[in-house]
This record gives sequence, structure tokens and C-alpha cells, in this order.
Amino acid sequence: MGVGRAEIPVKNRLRVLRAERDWSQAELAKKLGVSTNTVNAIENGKYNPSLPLVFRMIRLLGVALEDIFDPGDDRVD
Amino acid sequence: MTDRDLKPSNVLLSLLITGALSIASALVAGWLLRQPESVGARAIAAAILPAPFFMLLLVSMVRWTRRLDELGQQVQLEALGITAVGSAAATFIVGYLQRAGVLSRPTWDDVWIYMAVIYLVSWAWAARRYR
Repeated sequence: MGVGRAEIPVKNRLRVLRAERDWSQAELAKKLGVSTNTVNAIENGKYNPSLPLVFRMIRLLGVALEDIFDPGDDRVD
Repeated sequence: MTDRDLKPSNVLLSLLITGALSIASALVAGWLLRQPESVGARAIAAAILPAPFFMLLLVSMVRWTRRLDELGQQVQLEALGITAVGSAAATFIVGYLQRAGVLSRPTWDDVWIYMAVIYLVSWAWAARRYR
């Protein structure tokens, strides 16, 4: 059982969305109130963020949840 | 003011200072207890000398942990879990090696060294998994 860890990696477009805004990992981390390591781990699919952090991302980036995260094979239709 | 409002650098500095003071006080206490005149109340005073410093270290550690972000807390949890089990194992093994006559000198006061080393190694290992 894993809490927060990517047992089943959830693909995300955080790196792309960050690059589109011309932000560095450090800048995004500061805006989100987390460390650069956390942003890097999320972008690399090594860590799944908590729900509050996901909401901060959605608010900051002005996009929908599905625009950031792709559940891949875990999708429930 | 909550722990979240404290500057990260101040929290880390506080942790390093209290950690250094705790180690220094433990070493001084060990030295005092080896002195021939360290008996009775003096020995007790020497034995409990590190207690207030370790209490300050405890407060600093809690503040630092609370100040970490969610991934940092995850790494901290894994490191502390490994440290708890690793230190327990080290304590038993050292104790049994003493009973077996392999280790002659008292080594109970060395357990904190194993604990610190295990904590640092397990922190580095846990953090590496998320890179």
C-alpha cells in the first residue's frame, strides 16, 4: 500500500504546462509552496501529489484536472 | 506564529544548533561520568545534563518536520520508520554481543550514534527514491 507514492504512475503534463509559462521548477515550487524536489518528483512521475496540492496547481495554472493528470489505464468511465 | 510561518533557514539552523548542543552535552556528560569524583548527586546531575538539550532538539525536530512540504514529510516518515527498526535491531545486537563476550566495554551510550547514522543513511535513501 502506498500513500502519495506512484505505485501506479499517473502521467502528468506538469512539465509541459510549466514550460508553456516559462517557469523554472524553482519558480513553480515557490508559487505552489513546496520544494523544488517535490515539483521534480511529480514531473518525473515519482510522486503523486496530495489533493490540496492538486487543487493549488489547478488554481495556479488555470486548467482542469484532466489537463494536468492522465490516469492512463486506471481510468473509470 | 505557527511552525509554517517560521523561515525554513531559521528552522534548519535551530535544528543544527540544538543537534550540536545535544551531542556536545552527551559527550560532556560521558566525560564527567568517567571522572572518579563523579558519584552520588554529581553523577546524577552529569547523567541528566543532556536532557534539556535533547528536549530542545526534539522541539526543533518537530518544527522542522512540520515545516517540510508533503514529499519532505513522506521522506521523513520513511527515514524515521527505518531508523526506529534499525536502532532497535542495533540495540539488541550490541546487547547480545556484549552478553556473548564479543564486546567488552559498555556500549549502550553508543546507540545514539547508530541511530544518527541510520537516520542519515535512510533519509538519503528515501529521498533518492523520489528523484
